[in-house]
Amino acid sequence: MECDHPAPARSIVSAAAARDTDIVAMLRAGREREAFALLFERYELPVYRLCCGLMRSDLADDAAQEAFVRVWRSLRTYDGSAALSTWIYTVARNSCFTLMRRDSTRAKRFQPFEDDADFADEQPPDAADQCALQRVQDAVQSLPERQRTVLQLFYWQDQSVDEVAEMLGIPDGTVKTLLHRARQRLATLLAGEREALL
Amino acid sequence: MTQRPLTDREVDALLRRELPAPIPSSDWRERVRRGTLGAAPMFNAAARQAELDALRARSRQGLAQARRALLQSVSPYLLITAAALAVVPTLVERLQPLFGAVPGLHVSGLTLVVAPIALAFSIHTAFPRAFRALVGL
Repeated sequence: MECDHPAPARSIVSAAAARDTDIVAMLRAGREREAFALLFERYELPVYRLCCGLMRSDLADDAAQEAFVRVWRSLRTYDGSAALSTWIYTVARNSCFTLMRRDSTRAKRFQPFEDDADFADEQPPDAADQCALQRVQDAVQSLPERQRTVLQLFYWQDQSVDEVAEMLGIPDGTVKTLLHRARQRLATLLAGEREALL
Repeated sequence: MTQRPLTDREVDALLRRELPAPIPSSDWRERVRRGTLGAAPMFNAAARQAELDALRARSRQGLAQARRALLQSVSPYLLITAAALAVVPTLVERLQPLFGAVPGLHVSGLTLVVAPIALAFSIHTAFPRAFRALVGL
């Protein structure tokens, strides 16, 4: 019987854990630079995607960069009490939240003029030839924030519920529930596009 | 007529196809590299050792300086004490007839040791520069 989401996810997670063990061993041997190089290679995509999932795309770059700088600076303080991946994702999430707070403060401080705000809210003309990619992305963007983040990370990260749960620091069950709700909502949102999309 | 919603399987297939994962640019990678491995090698073991050695050398230098300063400040008293101890026995012996002539005055050897030190200390406190010039320090 064919499964909806085959389980390479488990082996991906265990392979990743093995690499984490190597990184921690390097750290303990005082080879921080090598450890960080390996860590960056292993976590570059997940951290970048986590930031993209949590933030606006124009801020995600900065947040992911900030996350790695923080990891680099505090690498020596990592004591191994939590899994390396958990620690890195926590640092990444905190970087996102810091940047979000900073950005919202800046936005409050520099309120646009009302006229500008009108232009800013102006929607581009509804193009009849909007491609499927754009339609799906618009539908995904219209999802509630938590559902959107979980859905995006799930499809970006090889459909691994475990990994998404670890990245966001939430239980597996919550990820599954949010995914289910997101898919249901998308099914309704995209119903009118059946012919064009499928 | 209402549209029939997509099935779970259809949505899944659609998302797999149409939801591309973001990939960081090479420019972003370079920025991260510059901000971490390319930055000052805080974690470089050799650099850390060199920094530690420099700190040790600075501590040793500071300690030697403090020791010299301490010696410099007590040396006048040591000099005066030594001189007094060398001279006093003879002096007391020589001056005994003179002290004996003054009724009620009793000058002991100890007085002659303590008095110059107290005098030197008073001068040193009141006129430190003059005192140092006087004793040649």
